[in-house]
Amino acid sequence: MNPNYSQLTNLIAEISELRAEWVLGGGFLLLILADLIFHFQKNKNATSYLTIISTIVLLIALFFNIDDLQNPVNKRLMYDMLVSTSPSALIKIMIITCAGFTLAFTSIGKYKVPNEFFSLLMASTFGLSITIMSSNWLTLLLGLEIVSLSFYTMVGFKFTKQSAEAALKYILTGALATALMLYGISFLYGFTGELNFTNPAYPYLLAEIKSHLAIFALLLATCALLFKLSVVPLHIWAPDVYQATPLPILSFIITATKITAISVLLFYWNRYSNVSFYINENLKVNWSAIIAVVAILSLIVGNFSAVSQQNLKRFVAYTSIAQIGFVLLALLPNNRFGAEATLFYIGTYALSTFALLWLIHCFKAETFTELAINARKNIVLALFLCVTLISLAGLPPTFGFTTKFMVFTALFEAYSSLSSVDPILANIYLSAFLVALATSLISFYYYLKIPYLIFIKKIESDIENQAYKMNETSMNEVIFASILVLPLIIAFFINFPNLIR
Amino acid sequence: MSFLTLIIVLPLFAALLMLAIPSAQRKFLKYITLGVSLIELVLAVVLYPKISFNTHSLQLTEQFDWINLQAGNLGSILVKYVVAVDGLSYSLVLLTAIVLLLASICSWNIDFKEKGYFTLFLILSSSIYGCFLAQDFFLFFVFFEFMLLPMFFLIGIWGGKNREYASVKFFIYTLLGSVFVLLVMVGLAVSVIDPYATSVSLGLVKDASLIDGETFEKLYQLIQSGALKDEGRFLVHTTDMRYATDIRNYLPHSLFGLQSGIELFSLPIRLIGFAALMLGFLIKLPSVPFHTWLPDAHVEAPTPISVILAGILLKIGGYACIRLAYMIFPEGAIYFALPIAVMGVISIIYAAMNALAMRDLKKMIAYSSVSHMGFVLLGLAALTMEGVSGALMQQFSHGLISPMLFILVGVLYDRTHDRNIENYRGLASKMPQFTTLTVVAFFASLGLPGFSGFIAEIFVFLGSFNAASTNQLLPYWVSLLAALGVFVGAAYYLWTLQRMFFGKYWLKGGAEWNEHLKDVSTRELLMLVPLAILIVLFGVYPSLFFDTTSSFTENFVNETLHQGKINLEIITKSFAVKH
Repeated sequence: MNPNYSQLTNLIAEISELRAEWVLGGGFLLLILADLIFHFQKNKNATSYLTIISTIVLLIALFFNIDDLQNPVNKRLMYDMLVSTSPSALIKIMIITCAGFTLAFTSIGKYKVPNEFFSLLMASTFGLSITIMSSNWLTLLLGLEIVSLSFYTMVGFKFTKQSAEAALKYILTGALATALMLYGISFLYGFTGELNFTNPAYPYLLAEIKSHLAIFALLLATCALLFKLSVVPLHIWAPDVYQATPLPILSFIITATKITAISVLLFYWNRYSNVSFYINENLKVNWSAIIAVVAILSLIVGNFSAVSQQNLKRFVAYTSIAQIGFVLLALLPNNRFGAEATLFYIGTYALSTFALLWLIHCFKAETFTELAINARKNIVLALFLCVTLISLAGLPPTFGFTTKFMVFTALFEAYSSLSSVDPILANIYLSAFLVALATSLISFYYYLKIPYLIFIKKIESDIENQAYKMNETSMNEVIFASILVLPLIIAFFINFPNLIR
Repeated sequence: MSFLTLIIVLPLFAALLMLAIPSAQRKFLKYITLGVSLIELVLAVVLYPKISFNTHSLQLTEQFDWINLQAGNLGSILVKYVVAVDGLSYSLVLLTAIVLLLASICSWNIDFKEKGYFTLFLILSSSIYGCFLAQDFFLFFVFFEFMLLPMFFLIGIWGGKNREYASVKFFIYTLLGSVFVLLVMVGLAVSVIDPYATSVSLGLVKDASLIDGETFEKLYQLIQSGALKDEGRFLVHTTDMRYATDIRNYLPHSLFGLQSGIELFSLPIRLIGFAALMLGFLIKLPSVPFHTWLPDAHVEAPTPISVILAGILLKIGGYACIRLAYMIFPEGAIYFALPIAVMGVISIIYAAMNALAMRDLKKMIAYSSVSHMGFVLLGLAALTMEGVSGALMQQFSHGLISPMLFILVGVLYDRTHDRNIENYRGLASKMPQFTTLTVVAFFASLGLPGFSGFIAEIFVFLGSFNAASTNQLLPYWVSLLAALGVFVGAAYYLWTLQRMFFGKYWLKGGAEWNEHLKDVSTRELLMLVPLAILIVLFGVYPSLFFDTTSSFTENFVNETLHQGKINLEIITKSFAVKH
């Protein structure tokens, strides 16, 4: 038989394995077509039609992924370009849930979005799915670029001067990150002749390169992921971009991308953690040490910068830098416990961030003062806000505390088991642990500042009299808020990690 | 639902119920709170005959597994919901029930946002009971942390003029302390194993019900011999205090194990663990130099919250020092005996001097609280039967006296909205009943024989003197210095009495104040008289208290000294080998 022909049949046979991605991609095209054919620009009900179509698409993709999760697979697809495993199905479920929440955000919140929003949401979900499934540098790049291109557009959806500026900043910095990644990939390919980074031998191929360029190239190739995570030193874009982004889109960007990027680091990059890279004859550097340093920097910069913020979205940006710094710590142990801690932590973070942004939207607030004044008008939502913030700060009785405890314990265990083997690395872990503890104190301050402003601080009457516009909150808004917030408490009491094991 | 859990969750349920009551019915809120507090007191009293105080062991244990973290090669971490009671816990639960009942009567004149106030009040009650009954470190920590939030709002919303500053300061100080506590908790979670669950998971026995002493011996032999090094995934780690207090349950080479060899600031890690726990709880106690949040919080808090703060919350600091720091790390108790005693003495004297200089009556009483909590530290540091009994008695007696003092200040403040000592003179002629009660409270607080404070202080002195001769932990000068504090204490109380109550009747506010100044009302008498009776009762017949705690104290002192010396020897030996 013609070898080319058999390759083609293989590819065709594997198409059905990617059914969720096909649905998402097809949904993307369908939404564009629907918009063009039915002239939704003129139609008043356009948004609701598009929402319904997107919801159906997401539900089908969700169903397929749940099916994949229940029937564990570990398949290499498309000639080792993609890999489909049950953890990646789990992450895809989380991403699709984020996209669903984003849709709910726009429709329940009656947020005015252009019709392209829906197709781009599908495209970015598709891109994130590809990213998490990629096993080859090129597919990873492709996935990240699909995501980035959709996000560049969506960031500018307010069509103001400020949002245009933010979108441009995002494009320029993002393009730089992609360029660095490509540069790094070309080095790595040159050294190893291998593009498949999930190859078990790959880390050792890298370690055998007796040149400091190996670690340098790996760092460059990781740039795009770290950029997506907005960790220090690749964080500078985040506050400006987040500030100008519409809230529902911001909530998707923060949650879905960070979940994906962290999971890629967790599933694939953690293989490097046992490998020492050569710098010179006397000095070798460990990948874990680099992650630890990035985490420490992010914790310090993020937490200290968040203290003095006035604008809520900038505040969210800096706290997300700090939180991602914290979750990077959970990558360090490189064992099952660490992986669980990572996923639980990032999942809880995503849920609480959704809740926080949704409540900010409900209160129509831009700054802390506006938030405080408007929150006084609706006590139920204000209480929800408190719960969310307590969970973000990681205090009982919220699930944020459990996950934080998991991360700390995992790190501590890694430290104590390393202390006799590799004292230098153990000390780096210990200092990361201590920095995390110290900065979590700072985070208590700025998270709990908000309940303080709402319930305790006296507000000058002339400020209070300035009418900040806040419509009556509808029942739907409260219900959506409770869907986002109540799991944070319930999961703490029912011991969620055990339940799903 | 069993008894101890009922005590913890009853206020919580009442709080949830309260949220459902429409605001139009707000006048019922205070009756609900009062009713719940009354039921809690009844429960606490009914608890008494159920406990046998002849034994030091924990009783009425209720437990079920709560969080089970699979930690890979580390094994798993099992967090349990465990509540149990012994003499130490019981004395404080009873105190809590008494003080909360009084505080709920005291809360009747809260006149805005009643719903929020009483809900928070009940949530606070729940977490206080939880703190005293929890026997799992994690569970304790959850209650300990959760207490902060209602307290933060209760001071911040219903407080005085400078309440914002005070509530934030209170919050930050206590959170700072709890970070240290969290650190030690994580360390314990990786070091201590649950002998029951581990025996089962290692396959030593088929079923947890078949476990006997033999199984444990086998298990401990395995642990000591290091045979479990590669069996890490079968170990069940725990944060249960009952296991953390037994050194055999520590993996020898784990972080807090005796042979860990890890050091920090050139001290063995177990000593650092003790110091971190003490630091966390000394902020709560509070001891000089971590006390500065207390005067601010007291001055700004509304009267009932001051009552709870002084009456119970400070005791949680002392309780946790005993239950966690001393019992988990006994060698720290021996190694750090002198520094702790010195901190106690400094607290006694420095805070008393401060009280002497205060113009605000409430601030004076707040400093006197710091001074009295110093005795708890001194008595604990002595580690003699008398000293520790005195410390426990001091906790209990201060829990009765300080609420009385704060209620008395509240009585005055409600009438004139002024608390400056110098603005009043000769109150005795205008308010005889008030004056009588104040004199009782002042004398009880300064330690006059016949009142409970005297018994506590005398025992602490006896204990710390004895420590010099029996276990050589403290030199004589420590207790001699502490006696100085008693003189200063007498000075500020007597001076205040003389300035405010004696002499010619005069008020700064003139006729307007005169009109408002009426003698104590029935409601206030209802709070003050029972307290006065209790203070005298425990002063005249202290065995009532000592009967409940003595077997705990005896075991605590013996165990801490015995095990502490052994541990300290092992640690210093391995430390010396390393250098």
